[in-house]
This record gives sequence, structure tokens and C-alpha cells, in this order.
Amino acid sequence: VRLAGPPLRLVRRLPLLLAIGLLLIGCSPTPPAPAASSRSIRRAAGDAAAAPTTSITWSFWGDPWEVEINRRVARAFEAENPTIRVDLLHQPWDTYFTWLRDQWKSGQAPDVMFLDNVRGYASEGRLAPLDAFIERDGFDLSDFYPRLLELSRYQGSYFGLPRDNDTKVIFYNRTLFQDAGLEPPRRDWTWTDLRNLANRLNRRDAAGRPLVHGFAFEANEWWQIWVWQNGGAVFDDPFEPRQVRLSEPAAVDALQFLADLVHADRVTPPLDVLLDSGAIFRLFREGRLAMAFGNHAQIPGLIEVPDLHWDIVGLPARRAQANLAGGAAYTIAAGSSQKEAAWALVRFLEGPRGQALFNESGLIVPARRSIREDNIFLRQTNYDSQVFADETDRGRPNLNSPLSTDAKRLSNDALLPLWRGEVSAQTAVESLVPRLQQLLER
Amino acid sequence: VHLPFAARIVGSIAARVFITFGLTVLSAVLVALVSLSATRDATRRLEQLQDTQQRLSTALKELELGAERENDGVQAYLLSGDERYLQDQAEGQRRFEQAFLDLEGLTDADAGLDRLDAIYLANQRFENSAASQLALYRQNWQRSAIFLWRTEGQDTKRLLEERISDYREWYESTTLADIAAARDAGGRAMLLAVVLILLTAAGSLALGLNLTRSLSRRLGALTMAARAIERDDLTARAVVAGQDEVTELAAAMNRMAEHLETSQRELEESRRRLAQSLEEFRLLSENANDIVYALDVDGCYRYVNPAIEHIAGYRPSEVVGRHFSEFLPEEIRTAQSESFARRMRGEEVSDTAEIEYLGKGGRLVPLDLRIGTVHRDGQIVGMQGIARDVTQRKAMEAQIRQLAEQEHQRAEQLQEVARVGQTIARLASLDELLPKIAGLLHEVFGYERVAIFLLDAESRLSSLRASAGDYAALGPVPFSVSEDQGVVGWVAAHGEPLRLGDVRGDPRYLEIPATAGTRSELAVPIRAAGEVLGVVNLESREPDHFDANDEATLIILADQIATAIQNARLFEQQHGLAVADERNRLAREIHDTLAQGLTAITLQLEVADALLDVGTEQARPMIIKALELTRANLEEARRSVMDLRAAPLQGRDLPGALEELVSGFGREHGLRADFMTRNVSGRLPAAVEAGLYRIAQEALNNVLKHAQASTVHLTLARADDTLLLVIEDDGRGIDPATSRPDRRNGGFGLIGMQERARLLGGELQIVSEPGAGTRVEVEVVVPSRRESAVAAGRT
Repeated sequence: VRLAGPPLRLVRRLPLLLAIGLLLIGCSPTPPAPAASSRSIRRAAGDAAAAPTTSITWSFWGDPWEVEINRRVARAFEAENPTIRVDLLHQPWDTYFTWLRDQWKSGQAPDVMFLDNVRGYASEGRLAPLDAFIERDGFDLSDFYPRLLELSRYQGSYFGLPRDNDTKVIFYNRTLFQDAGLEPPRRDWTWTDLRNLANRLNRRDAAGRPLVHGFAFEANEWWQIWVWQNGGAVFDDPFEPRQVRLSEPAAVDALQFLADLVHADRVTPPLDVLLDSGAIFRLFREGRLAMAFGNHAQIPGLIEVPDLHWDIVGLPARRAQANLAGGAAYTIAAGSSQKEAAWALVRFLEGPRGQALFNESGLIVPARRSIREDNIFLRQTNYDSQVFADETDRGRPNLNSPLSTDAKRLSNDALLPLWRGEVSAQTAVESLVPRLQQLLER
Repeated sequence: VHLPFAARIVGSIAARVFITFGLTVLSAVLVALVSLSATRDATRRLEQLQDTQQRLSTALKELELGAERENDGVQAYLLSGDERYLQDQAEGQRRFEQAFLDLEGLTDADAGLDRLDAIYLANQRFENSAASQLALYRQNWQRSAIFLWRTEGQDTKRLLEERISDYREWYESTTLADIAAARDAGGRAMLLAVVLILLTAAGSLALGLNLTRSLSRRLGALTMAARAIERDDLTARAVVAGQDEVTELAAAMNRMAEHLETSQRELEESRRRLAQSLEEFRLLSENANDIVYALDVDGCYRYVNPAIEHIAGYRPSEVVGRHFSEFLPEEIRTAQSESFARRMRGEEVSDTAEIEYLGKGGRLVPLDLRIGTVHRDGQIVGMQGIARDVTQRKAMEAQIRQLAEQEHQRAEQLQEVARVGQTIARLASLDELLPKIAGLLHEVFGYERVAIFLLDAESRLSSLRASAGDYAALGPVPFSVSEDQGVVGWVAAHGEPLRLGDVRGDPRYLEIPATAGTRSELAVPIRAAGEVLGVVNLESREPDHFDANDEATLIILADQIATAIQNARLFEQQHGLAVADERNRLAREIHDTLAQGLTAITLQLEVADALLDVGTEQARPMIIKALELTRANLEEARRSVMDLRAAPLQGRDLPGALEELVSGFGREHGLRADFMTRNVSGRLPAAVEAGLYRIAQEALNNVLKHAQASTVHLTLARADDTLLLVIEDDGRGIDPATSRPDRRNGGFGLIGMQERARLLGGELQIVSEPGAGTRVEVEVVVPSRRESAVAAGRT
């Protein structure tokens, strides 16, 4: 309802002056929802300034630089949302999920959680559905890669929004290749090429102590991509597994190929390094590792090292070209008491602003197409960024079920003797398969 | 006229004119003043509106410039990090703010204020985005800040620009409408002023005229009355009112007019009585059918009534005053003149006479005269008479003589019948025979309209086969009637002659345009062995034209025609063209295909027989070859038999049969075959349908045997009275170098098709080039549908 006459004009001028004044001193109120007139807007701005502060917690894993990036992102969020304070809860990858389960048990779930295997946790009832928020705010999902979006969906509802794609690539040291007189790997390289290059790049001193390691892979969990590339699979279905397929020759061969790199060719760092991605990239940054299996999260760390000349290439293929589809997503705890504020953070992190910041940091391959493919970001680093786009297209989903954590643990344990060189792949698989099958049937 | 009297009148008029003029000037000045002020108000309002519009326009421009300046400042800062650009941003904000306040001051309508609110909201978003991006930049997120300014920031800027142009559109549509309204108001005020001035002027003029007319009207009335009397209107009177000079004048004139009128009335009465008696006489003579005339003593016509025009062609005025002998033929002129002279001398002369009168254009009219002498005061002063036209009576007498002569002619006709009988017996073809008979009936017997119909034994339709004489447009158009239609239908059904003296009103008569004017009709069945073969029909435009004589003659003729028709039919059965053609074609085909095939088989088997002595293995290929040939020929023979059957066209029209043929052909041989028809509907003449169907069949066989085509199109189209059949394939075409010599490979098929087209009176063309397909076109002329429809309407 509009007032008439001179009082209206006077009232109408005030909010403008006030708003401009606020802007000039750097205070930016939340973007207002569409309102009927400027008068109600002014009131909303004033109310926001006076509202009490809310605190929420945000948990995630990651390397030290990832923690720093998240801190800066949280600061940017707080600057735009002065009424919300974000407390960061960081745990290393190895302990993150165990820690999270402890928090849940004690009823102290973080409000916003960084998670993979969203379907699994959603089915356990740990997560809050986001559909009502998405719909209310008209949050546009069309910019996301659909395959990633699908992994956050359980029984028709979104329980998270994907931050990135965990695309795996091979990092290589261009200087070491040059020193050995070798051409960099081609995009269509194979396992045989990898093995030959690793052998020629591997260098030892007179006493037989390693100077440069040819190649390092992650012995935990990601050996399954190699199984896929050999035409095999670990389970018959990533979402509703019923059958373990690990005992098929394709799977056994792939595992034996990796084990042979460690023990027959002896071109990898020792096992304790292979079980810790942080350790692998410490060696790589020091110039003591020629080729390393890893993901986009390593890039901010590598950029900081002066005089390290590196580039990336897609995974070598054997019978098939395969990579991982799916990365982690931001979720809101089912038991959170600050869901509105938590959603504000998720909306920021998943919106163009948060995704832009993550992308500028170099940490991730963003889940939003507009950010991923924008030249402002593509131009910033000196590596073959197209590789990520190509490899993302080959992605396949990892096991996405409540059993994921247990299956991962069982497998990692059962394969340790193989990586140690105590048993053959065949033997290791024979002991693992019945246990996995038992888990599925439980 | 005395001078003071005239001067008084002139003075009175001048005073009235002066008053009128003064009033007019005064009111025009008043109205002009009022309207000038109204127009000035409208102009002032218009100027005010234009000024507002100018300021609004400036403020909006300033709003846009401010936003633009700020946008440029933010962008330059994000790209360069140079703090000086932030001054641009501040300057932009300042200008925007000032312009916004200006706009608020200039806007009073709610709709405009709503739009200003929208601008305000959009600007707030724009400012928020700028602030957010600047904050990110300061937190060292440069790339993100640039990216987000370029995406999100520019979205908010676009929104702001849209809101501004929403406002602009609104104010343009409303403010400009106000200006237009104000301009119109100014124009209307001006118009109103002009109209008022004109009205005032008209009013003053009317008043002036009225004043002047009070005087001039009476003078005018006086003048009018005087003029009327001058024109012999003695009833006219001047108005006598008032007591001035004009009134006296009027009273004197009125008295004079009354005297005149009285004498005039008496004169009129005596004249009227005279006219009445004259009129009575005139009516008597002028309405008579006979010529009534009077001659003076010299023999010149003094009077003649209008009947002369009907009888002799002269108007009375042409005759009156001329001597009667001028109107008599030379040979009786002297005798009649003498007779007249005797009468004038008072001698006894016969009171009746029969003469021939010389009518207009030299034609002679027989007249019967009754004459009497005119006496006045015992003296002979002329002659009068009555003449009656006796032409018809004379004609009747002539007719009776003619009838006697006709009886004689009729006898001769019978002799002619015998002669016609001989002629028609010699003619073999019906198509020749019937027109000949019709012609003879028309020319030799002089019948006005002759038509011969043949009855179809199955359909019971009588079709016109020949006609002669004066028919409007029977021509070659197919025309037939069923047994319940017309006189012809009736005769065909009953097998009896029918003679109608007057066809009008007879229920059996069927009127059609071609026989318009027919009054009498005679139709006689053509019969043989108790069966009606057809009808001979005669028509005339005279009623009762045909008598028993004609009927008897025609019955004899019809018998002769029957015999001739039977002969002709026998002849045609033996020599039917279609049958002969089909048989010839089949013979040639058997010769070309089956006979040659059998020859080849014989040859193979003979060789095999010889080789059997050497060994069975050597003979086997020959026998296999012979077997193959046999199978191929069997297929050929089957095809020939299929061709012979006319089954496809039974119960189907041509498009239907062709459609079936083409789709069957495509299915059977795995080709893409389609059929298209344009403008063709209903049945065509049977010969055309059969002929075109066979040509299409032959052409398709050629496509199959020689063309190696994958697609064949068949089109049947009609334009007016031309029917076009086209068979087109995409095969290897016909190489002129090789096509003719090898008869087996198509030479014959093409000739066959050519012959068929010729039999239909059409043309066949083959267009082909090696490798570019073959196109066979057949063009046949058939009666157009419009004519057929007319023919259908007749039956």
C-alpha cells in the first residue's frame, strides 16, 4: 500500500541515501528478496544489521593448503553474511570418517559436512534433504555436471551438492623426463608405456639406494580404477552391489601389475609412501619422483614450489579407458539445529561465488560447468588443463552404498600382504572375495 | 414613380444593412478575444509538459550514465587494482543518486513510482554485487572477483538497465500521450474559435437578411404577381398588408387582375365544349381497325385515321394533304381518278370497291372500300370512306391451293424413300451409315430436325448417333436418354411410333437447350426381329408439322435402317479394330518371345543330344541351360496370358486400376514405384481406359526388363480435354545406338505402345538419355468434363 503526498517523497529518499552510505563504508547487506517497495527493503536491511549472530560448524578433510583455502573461503562468506560465523573442523583423510562417526554418536554432528558416498550416508539417515531449500531459493542446478549431481541423490531427493569431480591423473616431472632424454607421455599411452618409462626414469646411486623413483600410485582404494581399465570390476553394481567380481582374471591381473611395479621392477617408493598421498607428493615436490598418481587437490601445493616443472597426463589405458566419476559433496547434518544458516553456507559454497573461489585456488575440478570452462580460470596455471575435462568424461561411479566404508576397510587390510610382496594377487584376492561377499549378503 | 417614394424605400433598406454589419463585427471581435485566451492556456500547458518531459529525459539519461560510470570504475579497478578508478565508481553513484532524486520529484503517478521502486531495488542489487566483488578482490580473490563481476555483476547491471528502460517506456507512453492531448486541446480551442466566429457571422447575416427581406419580400411579391399576370396567370394576387406606398400599388393591381380573370374564365368554358365534341369524333375514327379517311374536292387527303399506319405503313401526317392517286398502283390510278371525278360531279358511282393500295416500301395491300360523298350546304365538298385490309383472306385462299400441291409432292417422297433405301443398303459402317440417313432425311425430305438414336440392349440407354438439320449444339457430344426420358425414350421402351402435334404440355416431352423451339415431334422405332434397335426422331418448330403421311414414310424408312444396322453390326463384329489389334499384338509377342525361346531351347537340346554320345557330364550344362530357358519362357507365356485379361479395369476406374498395377509391380519386383493422379475422376471412354492401361503395363515391363531402375513414377493427369500419362524411371536409359536393332529387347514393346497411342488418337513420346532414366509420355484427347457434365444434365 502506497502513502500519498509529500511524506512519501521524504520517506522514499532516506533508504537510498542510507543504502548508498552503507555501501560506501564497505558493509554489504544480504541480497534482498523481491519486495513490494523500497521502504520494506530498507527495513529488511536494518533488521539484518541488528540480527544476532549465528554460529555453525563446517567439517572437511584435506592437506594443509586445503585448510587454508577453506579458511579464506569461509572469510569471504562471513563478509557477505555478517550474521553468520563459521567454525572450521578439520581432520586428515585417514581419520576423518571415523572421527565423524564418533561425532554422530555423541550427537555433535557438524552442521555442514564435506562427504563422499552421499547415498550411503543418506540411507543411514545422517543427512538432511535439501530439496525444500533448493526449491524455495530457486537454486539453479542446470550448471552442474549431471553425472555428479546424480551421485548426491537418494530416493529422488538431494542430500548434498557436489563440489568437484575427483578426477585422477598422472603428474609428471618434466625436468626428470628431459634429463633421461625421454619425451613426455602421450595422451594415448598404455600400461606398457608406463612400465617402460618408470623403469627408465628410476635412478639409484652406486650403493643401490634410490635417487629418483619412477612412479607412485595410491595403494589404498584407487587400485580399483586399474581394475576397471583392465576390463574388470570389483562389484557388479556400484549402487546396489550383489556380487563381488574381484576374482575374475581382469581384476587379478591388474592388481598383480601394480604389485609387480613395487616388487619385480622396484620402481616405486616404499609401501609406507604408497599408503599416504601426502607422502607421495612430498617426494614429487622434492623432484625425487618422476610420475605420480593424484588428483586436482595437489595443484595448489605444486604451484607454490619454485622451479618445479611439471605437467599432467591422463591415466594410461589397457583394455578400457576409465576414471573416477564422483567427488565429494557438501551436506547438512540431519540433526543440525542451524539448518537455515548451514544452507546459506552450502548455497555460497555451491553457488558461482564459492565455486569460483575454489577454482581460483586451483584446488578442485569444479562441479559447475560455467566455472570449469571459463577462460579467466583456465588461463591461470601452466599445465594441460584439458586433461581434466577429457578424463572426467571417462568417469565411472565408485561404490556408493552404506557398505562403502566397511568394504574399503576390508579391502585395504586384505591387500596389504600383496603390497608387501608376501603373497600373489591371486592369493590375496582369494582371501578377500569371500569376506566381501559375506559383507554384501549381510 | 415619384422620387420621394423611391427614396423612402432605398433609405429603409440602407438602414437595415448598416445595423446588420455592425452586429456582425461586434460579435466576431468578442468571440476572437475569448478563443485567443483559451488557446493561450492550452499552449502554456503544452510548454509545461514539454519542459517536464525534457527534464525526465535528462534525468533518465543521467541515471544510465551514472550506472555506466560506476560499472566502468569497478571493472577497471578489478582489472588493474588501481584505487583511482574507485573515484569513478563514487562519481557514478553520486550522479545516479542525484538523477534518481530528480526523477522522484518529477513523478507523481503511482505507476511511475512503482517503476522507480523497481529501479531502486535493481540498483541496490547492482551496488551489492559491486561491493561483494570489491570485497573479494581485497581478500585476494582477484580472478573470482573479475569472473563474478563479469557474470553476476553484469546480470544485475542488465536488470538495472531493464528497469530504467521500463520506466522510460512508461513515461514515454504516458507523458507523450499527455503532450499529444495538450496539443490536441490547443488545436480544439482554435477550431472552436473558428467555428464560433463562423456561427456568429452566419447568425448576423441571417438577422440582416431577415430585416431586409421584410421590405424586399413585399416588393418582390408585387413584382412576382405582376409577372404572373403578364404570363396569363390571372389568379395571381399581390399581398396587401400595412399602409405604405407598396400596399396601395398592390391593391390597384389586384383589382385589375380580377377583371381579367372573369373574362378569361368565360372564354375557357366555350373552348372546352368545342374540344369535347371534337374529341368524341376523334375517338370514333382513331380506334377503328379500318382506315377512315376523308378527301377534299380535289382528291387530296383531308383526314386519315391512325389505322393506316398498321395497314399500309404510313403515318397519317405523311398522307394528309397529298393526292389519293399517289398511293395507288399505276394500273388502276387513271380508272380511280376518273371514278373520283365522276363522284365529285354528282354522278352515280359504286359505293364499294376492291383495290390494291400502294403501301410503304412498294408493298401492295388488298383493301375493301366503302365510300360516301360529303355534302355541305347542298354542295359536294369531298369524299369520305372506310377501307378494310383483306390480306389474310387472300393468304388463306393461296394456302388452299398450296395444300393440293403438297399432296402431289408426298407421292414423290415415297419414291425417294425407295431411293434412300438403296443408298443405305450399300453402306457397311454404322458410323458412316447413320449420318448419311440423317442427312438424307433432312435434305431430301426437307425435315427440319432429324436425329437417330441407337438403343443399347444392356443399359437400355438410347444414344444419339447421328443428327442433321437445325439443332443448336447436339454435335458429336455423347448424348443418351433412358427409357423414361423424353419422346425418344418412350418410343424405345414401347416400340411404337409417337406423333405429337404440340409438344408443349405433353408429359413425355423432355425439353433440352439443343432442341429449343421445337413444337411438334415425330419419333418412330427402328425394329428388327421384334427387337427395338433405335429411334428415328423428327422435330419441327411448327406445331402440327407432321401428318400420317410423314409417319408412314418414316416407318418404311425405319425398316430399311434396321436392316442396314444389322448388316453394319455384323460387319463390325467381324472386323472389330480392338480385337484385331490385340490378336496381332499377341501374335507378334508369341513370335518374338515364345517362338524364339522355343527355338533356343530346341537348339540347346539338340547340342545336348549330340553330346550325350560323348558323355552325360558334357551334356548336363546344355540341359540345365535349356531348363532355364524353358522356365523363362513359361514366365513369359504367363505374362502374355495375364495381359490378355482385361480384369484390372473391371469394376475400377483408370486411376484405381493404375494404382493397383503400380503398387503390385513395386511389391513384386522390389522397386520403389509410386503413382500420382491429378485432376482425373470418374470414368473415361472405355477404349481410352483400356489403351492407357495397356501402355502403362507395357512401359512397366520395359522398365523391369531393360532399365535396371530402382524407382519408377507413374503420373496420370488431366488438363482440360487432354489426358497425360507419364511413366518415368531412374534406370540406365535407352541408348539410341543399341535400342532399335534388338527387337526382343524392347524395340517391339515401344512400337506396340506407339500403335496403341495412335489407335486412341493420341501421341506417345519417349525421352531418354543413356544413364539418365527414361520418360514415356502419352497424350490423349478426351471430351472435357464440362461438356460431359452438360451432356449428363440433358439425360
